[in-house]
Amino acid sequence: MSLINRMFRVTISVILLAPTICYIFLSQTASAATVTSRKVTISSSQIDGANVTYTFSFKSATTTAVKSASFMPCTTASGTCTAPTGFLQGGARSAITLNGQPANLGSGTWTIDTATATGGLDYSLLINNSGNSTDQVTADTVIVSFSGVHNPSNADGMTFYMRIATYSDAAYTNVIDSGVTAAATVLQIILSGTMPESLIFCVGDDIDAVENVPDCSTADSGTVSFNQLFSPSDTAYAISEMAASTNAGTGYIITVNGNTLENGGYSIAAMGSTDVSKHGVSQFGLNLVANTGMVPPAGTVPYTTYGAFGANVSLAANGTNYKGQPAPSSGYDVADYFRFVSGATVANSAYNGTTNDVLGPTDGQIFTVSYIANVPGSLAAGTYSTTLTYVCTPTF
Amino acid sequence: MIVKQKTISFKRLVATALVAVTLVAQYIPINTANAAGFTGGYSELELEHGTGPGGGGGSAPGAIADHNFAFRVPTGADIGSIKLLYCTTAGPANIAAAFDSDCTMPLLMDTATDAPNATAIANQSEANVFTIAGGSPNGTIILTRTAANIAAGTDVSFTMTNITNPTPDLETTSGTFFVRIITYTGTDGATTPIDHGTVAASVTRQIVLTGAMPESLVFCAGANIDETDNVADCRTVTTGAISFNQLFSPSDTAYATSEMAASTNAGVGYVISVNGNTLENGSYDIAAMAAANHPIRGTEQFGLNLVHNTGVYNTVNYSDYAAANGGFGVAITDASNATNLKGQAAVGTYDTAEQFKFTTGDTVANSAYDGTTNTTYGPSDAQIYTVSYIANVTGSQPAGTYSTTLTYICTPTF
Repeated sequence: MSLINRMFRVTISVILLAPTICYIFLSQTASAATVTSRKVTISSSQIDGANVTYTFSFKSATTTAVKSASFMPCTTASGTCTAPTGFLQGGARSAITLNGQPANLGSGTWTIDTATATGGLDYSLLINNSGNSTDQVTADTVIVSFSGVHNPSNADGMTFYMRIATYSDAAYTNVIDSGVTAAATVLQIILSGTMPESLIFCVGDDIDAVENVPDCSTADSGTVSFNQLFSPSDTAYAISEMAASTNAGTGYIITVNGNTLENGGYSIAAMGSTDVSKHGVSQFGLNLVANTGMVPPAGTVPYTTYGAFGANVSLAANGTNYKGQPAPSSGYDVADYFRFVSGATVANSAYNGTTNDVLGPTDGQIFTVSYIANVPGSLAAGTYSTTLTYVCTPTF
Repeated sequence: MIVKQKTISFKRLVATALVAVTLVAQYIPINTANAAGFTGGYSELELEHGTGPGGGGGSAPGAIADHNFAFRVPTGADIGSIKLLYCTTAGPANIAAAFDSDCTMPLLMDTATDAPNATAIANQSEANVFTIAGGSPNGTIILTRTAANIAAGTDVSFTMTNITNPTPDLETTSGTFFVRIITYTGTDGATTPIDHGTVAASVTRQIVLTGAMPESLVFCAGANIDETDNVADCRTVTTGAISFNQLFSPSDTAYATSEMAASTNAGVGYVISVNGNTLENGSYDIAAMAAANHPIRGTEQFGLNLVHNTGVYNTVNYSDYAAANGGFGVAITDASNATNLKGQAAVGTYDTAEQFKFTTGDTVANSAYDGTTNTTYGPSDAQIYTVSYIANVTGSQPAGTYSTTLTYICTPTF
């Protein structure tokens, strides 16, 4: 009986005292309204990230002048607050600075408080301004920004909560408004790719540029025919194309390899030295530039009825990312002059705008190879052909 | 001594009541027991959800409940009245005593027919209906009518509505209570008893279940995130280190994908931004795509989007591997529906297939999908985004490994 009586008395006592106890514990928040439109924007979600900027944004719910504010990091949105591991590197707040004066938070000067160290405030972001007496405007967005914050260090990343509270005193005691917002640290995406040693080289009768970039996937057949039947009174010509790029540190060189035009036991003489096109003379040669079709140097007499042919390297070399050029002084780099020696270097990536002898990497360019054939009147009738092999050699 | 016991019971009652009033009622299944005197094995009392305190939970202590009676009459006779006697025991301790003797009414129950919770009879199975006779004490109900025959084996049922359940001290006593049922030929609930029996029921504690949903943000990023039971599950996130599908080449586009998942109950939803540098290798880099564009082989491009890509643009393959294998990247999953799923790739920037962009700090996704303007921010359940990256290089791009560390930031606004 006595036990039951005691239980009864205790029960009644607890019930009667409960409102008082609750008031004591909740006195700071009992009348607090919730700040609206609240968020915290962090400059980095990196796990254990240092020197992160935390920018709080919210609208006050109460017009009372704010004299202090706290931003408490917690692992949960409500209940007892436990600081996220690693936040502020265990409570060191000396590195934190107020990133400018808060916006729409009264008047006077706000200062960051790194000294207060009671009941969870020791790891909170705190500001105070005891002299502020300007009422809040609930329509205005308050912005408070801190620099130098250290993110939580949970290895898997985590969601953590920032409990915002404003106070009518400078000692973080009498809560005006409060609210909770959230942020998350996450794994960073470490994106990697490898650029290998690269050489892109192709040859064909035609190669297109796709969106101004030579595209070897467009290379056509390597079978090329002269524009007309051979004749002792006119120069026949033909063109082929090749494209090259490399990231080789000392660039590339391109050689031509093969025989002259042949037909069984007959042939058209290769131009062993650089020369102009001459009607009625056995000549087979090539160059890598645009030709006028006019006999140099005066350039008034055409050597081919059809006029200009061939093209300069495209895209034009610029000495930086485009360095391809017909080999200088090789006999293949002057308009209306031709040559053919098997094994000769016909192009390289050494263009620098001056000496043009600085081999280096280059983006894709298209070379147009122009071939000419002249024949004497006695050349045996028949089809003359050759198989030319271009070899591009990069040096890494 | 007896007086003291009653005092203690009152204290228990007060304490229990104070606790009970904090509970929220819910329906608890019926409790039944066979009547002793009614043969045929059929009699029951069901406590049904009614109205009143705590939502009128049927078996809640103190609840205003409906008591459904059913029994099978063993003896065919003219029955003029039925007495219902609410007791804490099934019958008298002395079995030789009158069946309606030695009955203590269950604590604080109320069968009175006066307002505000007037007990009444309803749902009668008998055509010749009973009414409640006046003048009975609380805990006793006498149903009366002009005597009429009920054949043996007849199932009789009716409901007594608006009965206030007992409120026993469930800490120390059972919540079971009994109703003794006696039929009479007389109409006064006393003259010439015919059959009798007992039914039982029990009031029980109600389960008051409470939970709180706090401000919530779940966000993760990594190489891969799985769904568990069709819900994006950040516990499954794998390392954030990802590689392109192939070596960089000026003649083909390399691509890679990562994933991220987000949900929030923030009223104004979330935005996700991407932060970091372009792909770099020492002093070399691959130019970021500052404006959205399609991949162009042989040019420096690093960009991303958050949609499915085919690997083909304007009928031209920019990624041969992707074009031959169904593309790369996946549209947001589960698909947004403007109600509980509102995630979307940022409109006009990172939301178009075969168009890529990368500017650090850009918003790449948000929860503003509404099916029309897609500008209505709001809370969203979890969805998985697949981020597709592309890299194109020029022919002169120096050899080496290029990498970047990208940080995705999800900012909810509550």
